[in-house]
Amino acid sequence: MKALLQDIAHLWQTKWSFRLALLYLAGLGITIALLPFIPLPFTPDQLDLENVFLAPFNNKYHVLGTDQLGRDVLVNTLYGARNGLLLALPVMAIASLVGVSVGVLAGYFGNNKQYLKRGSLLVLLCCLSLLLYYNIIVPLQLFSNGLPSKLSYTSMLVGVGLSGIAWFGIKPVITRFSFCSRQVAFPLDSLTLRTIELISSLPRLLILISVAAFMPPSVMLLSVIFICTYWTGTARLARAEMLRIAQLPFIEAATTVGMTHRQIIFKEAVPNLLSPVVVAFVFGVGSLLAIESTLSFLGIGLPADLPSWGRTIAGIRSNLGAWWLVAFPGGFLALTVLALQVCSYHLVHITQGRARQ
Amino acid sequence: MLRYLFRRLLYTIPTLWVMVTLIFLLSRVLPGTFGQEQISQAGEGFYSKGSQQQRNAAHEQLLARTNQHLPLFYVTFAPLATSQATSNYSYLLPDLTWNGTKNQYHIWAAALFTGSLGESFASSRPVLEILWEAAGNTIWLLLISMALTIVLALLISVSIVQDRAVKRRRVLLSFLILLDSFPVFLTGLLLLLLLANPDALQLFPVFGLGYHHAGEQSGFMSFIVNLPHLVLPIICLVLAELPYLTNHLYTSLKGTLQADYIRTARAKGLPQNQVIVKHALRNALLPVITVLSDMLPALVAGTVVIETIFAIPGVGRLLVTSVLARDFPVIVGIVVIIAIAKMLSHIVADILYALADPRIRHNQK
Repeated sequence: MKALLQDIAHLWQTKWSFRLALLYLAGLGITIALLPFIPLPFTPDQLDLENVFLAPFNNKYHVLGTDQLGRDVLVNTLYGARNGLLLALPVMAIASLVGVSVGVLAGYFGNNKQYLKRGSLLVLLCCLSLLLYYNIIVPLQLFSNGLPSKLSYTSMLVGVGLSGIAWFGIKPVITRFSFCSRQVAFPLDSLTLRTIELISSLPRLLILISVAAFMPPSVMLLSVIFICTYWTGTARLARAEMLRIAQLPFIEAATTVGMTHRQIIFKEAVPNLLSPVVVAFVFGVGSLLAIESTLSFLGIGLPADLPSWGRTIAGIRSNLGAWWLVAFPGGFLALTVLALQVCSYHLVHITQGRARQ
Repeated sequence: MLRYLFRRLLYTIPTLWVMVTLIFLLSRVLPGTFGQEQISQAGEGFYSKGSQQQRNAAHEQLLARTNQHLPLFYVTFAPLATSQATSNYSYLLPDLTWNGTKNQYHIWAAALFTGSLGESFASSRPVLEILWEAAGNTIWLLLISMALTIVLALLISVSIVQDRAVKRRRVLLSFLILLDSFPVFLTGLLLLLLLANPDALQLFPVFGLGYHHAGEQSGFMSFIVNLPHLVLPIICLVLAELPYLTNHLYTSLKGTLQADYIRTARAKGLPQNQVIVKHALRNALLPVITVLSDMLPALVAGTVVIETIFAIPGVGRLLVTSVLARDFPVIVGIVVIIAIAKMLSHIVADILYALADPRIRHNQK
């Protein structure tokens, strides 16, 4: 953590492009955070059917022009930035968290470092299927039949309760039997690798498009799909870093001193793989912004009543002469992605340089 | 080598199968079937002026034609009875039914083994036929842009790796970073606005590919006729792929130039150009083979966007239109085809790698 901050401070002092990018990102962050409190003349969805396709810079009210329904381009661009980042940041944060935990565990325990009793494995599988049934399948069915959500809560409670009983009540009994108390190695690493391979066996945009097609567009659905497809990159990175770190002498020293696995992972290993993960995070946010606006442009991303860069840009289809619909949101998008990429580029260089020394 | 390939196939096919099955099941398990909204909407709509009864009958006929009335999988949960759920807790008990082989998944999978991808919901034509028609345009686009990208990336990386080219390197690398921050659809739209717009420069036609019917001319002639339509899309794809590939080639070339035999070649007095082209490039190309096989997904993503923007009747636009029409057999068909293409490209990359570098022997281990 400290090394990362030092890197950033060092880059801030030496690289003007990094400073510029960081300043831009900070300004953007402050703007979108304060956006609801800024007095703007229009709301993003306010129609003005008398002023459709207004060219920019020659109107007092619509400074950057209007789109096919008379919505103000400036306001839509600002709100598009807000919605895009409000989607991308939490999604990437959750995806990174999932990826780091899975990758670190897989890299640290490998295929034969973690042992489980056969009984525990059995109960674990039962718990998972119970949770799947009561917490996902039944609520989904109830929801699609339009039944009150109280029933779903009951079912979720039952699911958690039953798996709790299985784990704390049945597991201690079952592991008494000699067959079930045999220890087996839990192949965490291959399991993780297979899952990652499964998800990356198809191009990401293809998965996104085809799954987004099956349900009406919603922010929740889009975030879930993004998280499901984006955690693999971080997981792969964290696993590789963990494999490297686990060989280093200080981990061995920590084991000799008698630290538990948890202490070693949290106190020794995780701080050391923070920098690459932060780089991947910054890079991922840029890629999410780009892909979100691509999907919204194609009409399968954010719902149509949410302002987004892609939605504004899609207005060009009904009038090829309206260049301002592409130039302003698109330029904003490219600038933001560029700033994120410049940041991660410099960070990558400095961490690679340190690794080489 | 053969044994390695065989093992690799054995590994990949189940993964692919699971993924494709997941996509298939997801496409069917969610509420809302194809045509439901249009046919069974209440009141008089665009699609039907008949009574509710007639509409329900039409919907049922559609379901029967597309096999959607069958249960989804071998084992399914019985549907919830609404009245029972609100009165007591019996809805919490799982109620499994065994459907035998008469289910949607079995029929679909069995058809897949015989090489059929089913029929489109929208047009009742075989999916394979629709895909074949669309693939003609996409394949040209992909092959040409891939070849151009490789050539350009080679030229750029060779020209900037030399010691003297510090200034050129800086300019080109920053340009590539800038280029990388433009999503494909933005590049496409900007090119469209600049080069195919009556208000700016109208060098290329915007839409209209597929207007000249391919059947009338031989393959090459139709390609020549269609070329002006393909220029802008190809430029877009090349620009989208160039930064990634050039970066890899440049890094790999720079790494190779540190090797001892390069120093020997320089000590012999060979000119810089010859050292790079004759000695370094061949070894530097090796890791790039893997990168090339990774290019496929990016290209697929690119074609989806590019074909939508430039109205090219190819696979990408087919995907988007069938997504918007919820034509699931076509979507799943495209997924299957691309998954197979990706698997094949990885295997080809493996073979090429082993052929190019005799040190790699997969049999050992």
